[in-house]
Amino acid sequence: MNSLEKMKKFNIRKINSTQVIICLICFIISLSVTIQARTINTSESDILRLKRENELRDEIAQWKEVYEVANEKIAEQNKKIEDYRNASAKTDDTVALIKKELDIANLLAGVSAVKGPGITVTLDDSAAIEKIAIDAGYYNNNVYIIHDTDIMSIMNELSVAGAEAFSVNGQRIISTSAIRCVGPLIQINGINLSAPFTITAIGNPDTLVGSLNLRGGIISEIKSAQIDVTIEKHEEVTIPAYDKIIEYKYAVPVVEVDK
Amino acid sequence: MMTFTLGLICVILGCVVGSFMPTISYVYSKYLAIAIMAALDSIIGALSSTTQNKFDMSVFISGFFVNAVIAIMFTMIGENLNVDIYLAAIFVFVYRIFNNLAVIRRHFIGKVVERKK
Repeated sequence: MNSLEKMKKFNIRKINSTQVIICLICFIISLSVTIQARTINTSESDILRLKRENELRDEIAQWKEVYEVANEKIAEQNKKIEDYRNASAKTDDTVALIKKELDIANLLAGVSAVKGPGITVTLDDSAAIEKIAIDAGYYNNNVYIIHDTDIMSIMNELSVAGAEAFSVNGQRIISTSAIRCVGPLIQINGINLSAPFTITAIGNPDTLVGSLNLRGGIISEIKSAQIDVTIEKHEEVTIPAYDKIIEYKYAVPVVEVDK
Repeated sequence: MMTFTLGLICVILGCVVGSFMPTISYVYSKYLAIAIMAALDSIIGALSSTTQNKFDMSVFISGFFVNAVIAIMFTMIGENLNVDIYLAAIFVFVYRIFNNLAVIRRHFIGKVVERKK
């Protein structure tokens, strides 16, 4: 009890203005630390995601530059090769024949740019999409955007109608080209493309347009999803060459040898 | 000892109240962080000077607010000049906090040793 009394005296004696202020400041500091911690915890994931996105964007820009430089070099080298070929073709008949065959092979493989009469089909995400989204009170982005399958079906239809070469937003479609959905974008030849998508096809323009505009055909189906479709006929369209390396790792030609 | 007990109670109280307050915008959290570091430095400094009976209330109060304001100002200037000045401020604060904690530690060790004797 002696000690209890001591404690009480101790307490009263010890609580002075200094301690009051220290306590107040302790309170302020822990309050702000708690608020700060909660702020960071709630917004950290968003901020990290944003940061990561920015980093990735920078990286993409860098790689694009590298890619463009490399592409320029390839174009330069290809031109040189072409020059050599032309030069040797002039001097040798056999070489000239081989060059002719090579040109045809390049055409088939899609490694040379081609031009001819054709059409362009432009697909754009619906202009009414926002209005629809507002009206519906939600954004159903599966219905009103262009899908990889839309582009594939259009190209399939055009192939049936005799189209000979395709490109989508400047990407040449060759036998190994893949068209796939990557979130809001469409990936073709490993490159991400965004709307609007322009499909260029070489073939008889009238036949091609006719095949697309069949009643109940692919275009009417796409249009029903509120996607803007524009089809134009052209006297001459140019389709760029496939600009990557075509590599066959597994498939080898079967050569039948006459004996 | 009373100082620490009361301080601890106030810290707990602050945490409880803080968890019911609305959060601030992330943009300003950097400034709040640096202000917290400045304030922590002042508090630890005050505790260490209390142990040495050198505590001066006017120095403490002015240090508490002026250091926080200067640290925030440095952070803002650094932001505009694209220099991470706040890192230097944090370095100084943490350095001083460690020093002052060492002073406090020595003080208590001295007390314990004395009592044993």
